[in-house]
Amino acid sequence: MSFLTLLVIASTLLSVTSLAVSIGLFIDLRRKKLLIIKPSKNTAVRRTKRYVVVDVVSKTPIDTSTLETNVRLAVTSLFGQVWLDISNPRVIYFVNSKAIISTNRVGYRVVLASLPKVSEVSNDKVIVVPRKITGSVKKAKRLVGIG
Amino acid sequence: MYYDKVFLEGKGRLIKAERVTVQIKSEKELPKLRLEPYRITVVKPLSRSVVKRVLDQGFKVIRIDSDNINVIGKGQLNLFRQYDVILEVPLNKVNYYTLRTVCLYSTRYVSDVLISSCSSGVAEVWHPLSKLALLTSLGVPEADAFHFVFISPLRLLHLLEGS
Repeated sequence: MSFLTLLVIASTLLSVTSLAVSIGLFIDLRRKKLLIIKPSKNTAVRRTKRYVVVDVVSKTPIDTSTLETNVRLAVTSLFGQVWLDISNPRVIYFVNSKAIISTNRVGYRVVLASLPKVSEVSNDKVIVVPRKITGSVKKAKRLVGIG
Repeated sequence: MYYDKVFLEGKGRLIKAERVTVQIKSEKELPKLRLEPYRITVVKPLSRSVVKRVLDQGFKVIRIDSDNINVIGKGQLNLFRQYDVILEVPLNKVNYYTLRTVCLYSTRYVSDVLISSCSSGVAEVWHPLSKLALLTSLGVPEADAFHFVFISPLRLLHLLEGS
């Protein structure tokens, strides 16, 4: 065995030993409660969904997908493709000229600001009036009157 | 709750007052401006020299849009602060950079900014929630945005009652 091979083996052994020692130290510290790692209790981090309840005023009946397409077009025209991807607005319920638009906490302002741009759907004048922003579908459904 | 009254151009229908927008290019056109009771005269100056003359005559509402954004200089802003002017920004005739500039200037110089829809029909009217969302997404502080959307129209009404 050459000197170089010995050197490589020795260095490998040394690194493995140091790794084992550091892991042991970490476990020991955890056991003695000297190193405390707490999971985040901030529940707001998890609740990132937002639901915008809107009233849709129009003379002719509108399809859910048409409304969604127009909302997405409005967001794109006002804030661009980046904010469309971030906010990702989707019409999840559309009953009795009331709709629920699903989005997230980062992008709900973008969706709200874009709603006045939805003034025409298939050559008919439309008014989309935002009513309430909620964090749960249950409450949004209750506001619409289907929950 | 404040949005049950609407300022309309021309003869007032929903509110007793009349709202008139006057565009002033030069000082020669100034004599046609007159203060009248129950009339909100919104002046749109197109040059910097006109601004002081207009304010001296007692007009309190100045309209700023993409055509006359160059009217705003440091001297004019100080004048606005001195005369306690209300700035009106029409949402459909302004680009958003101008809107942001006016709103951010206003935090230091102007106490009231009117964000008006200036809509030609009902379908173009901006909901106050949408206005708030637009202003905050442009970088205006939330408290200021709230003031511009809800408090400034009330001040205009108070001005009207005082006339």
